[in-house]
Amino acid sequence: MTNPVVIEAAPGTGYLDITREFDAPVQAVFRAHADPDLYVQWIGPRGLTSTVTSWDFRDGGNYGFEQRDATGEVYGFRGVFHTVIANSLIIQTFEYLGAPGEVSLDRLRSSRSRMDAPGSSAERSSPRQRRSNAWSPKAWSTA
Amino acid sequence: LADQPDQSDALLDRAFSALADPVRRAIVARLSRGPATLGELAGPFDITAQAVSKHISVLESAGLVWRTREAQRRPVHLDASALERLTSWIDQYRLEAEARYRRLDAVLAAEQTPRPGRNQRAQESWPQPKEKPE
Repeated sequence: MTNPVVIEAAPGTGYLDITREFDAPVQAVFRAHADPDLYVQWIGPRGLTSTVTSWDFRDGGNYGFEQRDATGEVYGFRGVFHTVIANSLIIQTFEYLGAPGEVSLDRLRSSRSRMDAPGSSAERSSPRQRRSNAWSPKAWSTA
Repeated sequence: LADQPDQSDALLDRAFSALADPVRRAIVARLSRGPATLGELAGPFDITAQAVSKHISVLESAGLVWRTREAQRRPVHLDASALERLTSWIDQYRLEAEARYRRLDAVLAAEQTPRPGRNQRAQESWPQPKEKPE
């Protein structure tokens, strides 16, 4: 069994809210986003191999990665970590190099669930990822 | 059409923006129960048949509905396959997100498994930029 993914698209806005719980401590979920060695293991998509090309995980730091498919075709991505707050918040831009100028703004924030996993000391965390059109000021009004 | 991503994307754009209007969503909901004329569609709404006609034109250019050309009444029909294209696009996004987070689950599970040399790493904090003024 896996935890459900809840995807909400607020009418009249260009962004999505994705909410998902993880049966792991908040720190571990955050580290899976912060550590490039862990990040490339899950970012996907399936069938592509990801390699980090730069990774400066701090406010204003750049990052980039490449994804290679079975035919050897390479897809590049880059962005900037705008805000990094330990175990709490990551705001970053995201751009596919094949579509320059189409920059999305992602926000990942963790909120500790009130539910404790029975018989386990593991905390649950529910990071919330917001992918938005970078040009949409409304993206933040409903935060 | 499926082989032409640009056209297909443009149609998706038009379809989603057409459905951003509550009246047009209500019209689509009505048409899902069967074809209707402009007059029949205008009935439940506090708008003129002319306004409904405009809404139908938007839905038509988005490929969501079509009108019988020959008949005098020219009833409006819903193109069910067009709606399926929208939901399959949403499902595709959802499926990709679900797969991504299942992979993250696996990474988290592997990290939680106590292993020599790994445990220490789990305690170790990753770079904490806020504490590094330089």
